[in-house]
Amino acid sequence: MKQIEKYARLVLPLLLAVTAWLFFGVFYRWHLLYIEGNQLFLWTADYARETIAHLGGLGDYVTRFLVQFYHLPLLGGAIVALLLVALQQGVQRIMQRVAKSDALWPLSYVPSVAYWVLLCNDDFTLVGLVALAASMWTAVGISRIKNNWTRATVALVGLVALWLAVGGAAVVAWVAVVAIEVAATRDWRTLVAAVLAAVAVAVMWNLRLWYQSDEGMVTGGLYFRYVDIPLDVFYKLWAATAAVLVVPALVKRWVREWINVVVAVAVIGATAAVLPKYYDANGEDTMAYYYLAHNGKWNEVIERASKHDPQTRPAMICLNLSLVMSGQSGERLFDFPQYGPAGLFMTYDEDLIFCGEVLYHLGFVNEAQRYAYEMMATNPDHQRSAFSVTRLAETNMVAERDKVARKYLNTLKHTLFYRLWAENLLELMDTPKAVDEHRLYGKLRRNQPAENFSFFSDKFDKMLEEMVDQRPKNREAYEYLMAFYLLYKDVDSFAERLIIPTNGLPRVYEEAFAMVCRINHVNPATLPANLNRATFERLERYIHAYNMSGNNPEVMNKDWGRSYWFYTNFIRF
Amino acid sequence: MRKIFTLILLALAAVACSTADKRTSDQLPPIFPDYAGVTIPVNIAPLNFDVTTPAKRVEATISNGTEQIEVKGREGVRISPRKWRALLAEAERLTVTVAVTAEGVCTQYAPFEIEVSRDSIDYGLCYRRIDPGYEYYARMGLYYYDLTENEEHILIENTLLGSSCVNCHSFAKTNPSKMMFHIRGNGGGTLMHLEGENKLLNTKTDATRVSCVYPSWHPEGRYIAYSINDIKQTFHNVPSKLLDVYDYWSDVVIYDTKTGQLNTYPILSDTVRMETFPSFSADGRTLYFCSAEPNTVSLPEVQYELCSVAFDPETGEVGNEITTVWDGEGTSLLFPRASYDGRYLMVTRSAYGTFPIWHKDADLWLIDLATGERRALDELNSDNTESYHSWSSSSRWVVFSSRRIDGLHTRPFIAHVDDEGRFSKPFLLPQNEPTKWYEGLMQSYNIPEFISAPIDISPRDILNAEEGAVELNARK
Repeated sequence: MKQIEKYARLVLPLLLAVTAWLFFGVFYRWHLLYIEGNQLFLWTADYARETIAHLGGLGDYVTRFLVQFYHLPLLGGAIVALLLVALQQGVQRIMQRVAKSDALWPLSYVPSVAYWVLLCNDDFTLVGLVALAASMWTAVGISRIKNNWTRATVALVGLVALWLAVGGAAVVAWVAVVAIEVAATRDWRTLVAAVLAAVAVAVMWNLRLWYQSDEGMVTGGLYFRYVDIPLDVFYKLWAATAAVLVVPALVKRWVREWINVVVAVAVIGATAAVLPKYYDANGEDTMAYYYLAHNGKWNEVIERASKHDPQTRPAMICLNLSLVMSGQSGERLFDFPQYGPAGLFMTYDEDLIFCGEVLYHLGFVNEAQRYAYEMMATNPDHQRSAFSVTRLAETNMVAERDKVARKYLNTLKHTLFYRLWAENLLELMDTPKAVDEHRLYGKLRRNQPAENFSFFSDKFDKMLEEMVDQRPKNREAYEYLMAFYLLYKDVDSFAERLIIPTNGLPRVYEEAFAMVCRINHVNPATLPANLNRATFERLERYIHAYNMSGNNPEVMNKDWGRSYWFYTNFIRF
Repeated sequence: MRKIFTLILLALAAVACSTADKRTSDQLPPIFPDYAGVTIPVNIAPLNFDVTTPAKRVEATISNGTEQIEVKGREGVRISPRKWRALLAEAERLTVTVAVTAEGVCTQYAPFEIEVSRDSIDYGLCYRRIDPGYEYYARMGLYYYDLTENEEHILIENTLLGSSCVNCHSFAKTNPSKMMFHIRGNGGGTLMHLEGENKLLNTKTDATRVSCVYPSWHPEGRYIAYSINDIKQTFHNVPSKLLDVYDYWSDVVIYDTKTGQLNTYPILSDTVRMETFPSFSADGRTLYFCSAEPNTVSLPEVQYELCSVAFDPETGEVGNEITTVWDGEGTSLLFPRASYDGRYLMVTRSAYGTFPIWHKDADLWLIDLATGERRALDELNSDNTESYHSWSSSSRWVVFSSRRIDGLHTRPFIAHVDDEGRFSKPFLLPQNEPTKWYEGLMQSYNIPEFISAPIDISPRDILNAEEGAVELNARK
């Protein structure tokens, strides 16, 4: 048993590190990329000063520094894993100091596992973990000081400084320092120092030196992205951590080696049981769609959807945008399950993130700018966002608001991962006509509306009609509008807008057109030769199969599920 | 004598170039902010500046005719406040000579002058910093800036109250002991700071339907005129226009700080016209405001006239007759602000609408209240937006917001007004690190207002402000 325990003590930290690294770096990589894209870490003194200048600000700053490396998910995953291990190791050391034994050492994994679970929800930031780990190691550092007066002085200054630096999690360090002193070192000076530190914190709290809300003052740092911080979660977490630190000292006389092994197995089992429940698969999938669409990786979006149907409306919007952008919507729109026009756009109140991509790529550059701005403004932790700032630079450049674009690009030059991109864009702007001739930006510039009209997100199909009327060469807007008509089942408007190119129509358009012709009793023989007569014959076969199936969608889906006719007959929205 | 001194300065600057190849230029130095030819108050903080071209070294000599200081820097000039104050104490004008060393060549630029006015400026400015956004807002705050020290202080940041919106700070004739600002959102209200007492007022009543919006303090500090506005936004799609903010309806009301009553007047709250941007005259016996017919179908047809109505500070009554001071002649007149000496009224003039900050054509105009003459303030206006403006307590300085730097981010500019009503070339609000600050700042400056002293309100004062509500008093 002793050997097993010894082996477990060696292996478990490694197990924690590797599994957490794989979890975050591989299975949560889109989360990491999304979180990183929603901040903008600047390597400037002003940014550091501004970030640090509030209660818990240093914790925020360190976290933002670390989060920028989420841009490389494997590295980001490693950072999270190391922090979880650092927390566990800190807790374990304090437990040993308090209990003067290794009793119940597997419990040292509980705070790390708890934070792992919390981090599955991206509203819980890494700040709280950084703060807790820093608290544990501060307590470890204080406990290692042999001289009583020095330890007391460092405890007084260190605990107050820790609170200023990382906020509320410092309370666990305070418990640790007191527990070690009471249980092990037994010197009154450090206990007095701890009391004085608590008084100092209380006085500073009462002075309200920072412009932070009451709830914000409890955590200090931005442990949670939203204003409505679930304080009870943090109270429970801190209380549990504190309990882990002191309970072993109280029960050590009854703890045998086999109990440690049983607890280790229980912790591993509980972790394995709990984590999958908190793994946000839909969120991961949706963030993947967003990240790929934001970066114009249309074929990767389509490939992803080909493997697994999109599970959320935003993901569906990314897919349909990708089909349009890659010129495949006319051919493949119904290769994927469609559930109505809701899969094309949402209103302003419903979404700023995904529809911002739609607006940008369809040439609604002003609106895309508004959405990017609002996306950043609604960032609950008030941070600038790389997603938004890069987009704002683009929209302003496309709209020839060069000074503003340069301002954003010059800001991006102070980042690690967007500097090169910004420098390339600045170079582009410095080269005459380069933007006009640019494959993406030149096209967007030409595709913007020529005449003003007010934008209403709840009438996006009307906005598209206006755009297509003004910019007939805006292929993307045209195809998106056609997708709207098709998904609305408005085949009359579809037929009215339909342009039949010399090389014929793509499959979906041809299916819809054939349907219109049949409804209006148009003889296919009278139609232009570049239309595929086989589609008209397929329509007849579909009608026959429909009549034979007795209106049964399951029967029809097998052979006709990818046809527009199936959609019109069987999909309700 | 001045020429001789300038020559000496040039010679001294040439010495500064001694380690590199020398070149002289008859151009003004490429500096930011542009301080060439501006007029500054005698008590202003140092006008630090940067060069806008790549530089290895910048050397500047600043002289007042009898004394001079030499400053060196890598990309800009950071002036010692002590030396600067000594230089300004007796100065009528400063001569600034700049030499820039880049790529082994030291270029000596033509000197420029800065007029030093004996008219002191107020202690500072109070403004809001906010992203120039749309409907939502991120981190924002009200700040005040010590013009004599180049130091910014926080009045309130919206993180204090759970991401609320803070706006419309206003002072009784620049006096920070009589001030107010709005806090919007849960737990919000109008924070009224009167002689050390703080109250958080709910100014919304059943009759007025919305909370008070744009304020103007009566010069004696008892009344505050407010507009109440139902504000909407619309968004444009062409590159040249981003958005418009307009009122669905608006009225003007007057709050009496003595009685706690919110007075409404039929003449200022009819449904036929919208009334907004109230502003008291210097003697407090006239209330200016802007008025337009509502038209939510065609915004370009909404053009505000400048109107006035008599006001009796003894009774709080307004007159029975509205006078059109200026109909705008096919444009919209906004933000009337009377100088405290009673001589002028400054307005913003734009093609249409009520929110000129989004209109590039918006310019400042001045009305001489004695003669009725009006003119565009070409000395202050630019090709881009000029919008909000306010007067210093001495009426010798104005601060106004302009988008001239990049077309989006509003910045405060300050200009001097002389006895004859001539305005000097405006200068950008000085900063210790001007390029770094303004280039890095993604926020706009809103509503720059002069204040005569620091503001004495702490976060705790705001949180502990006594809550209350106004009492409606519908005047006949």
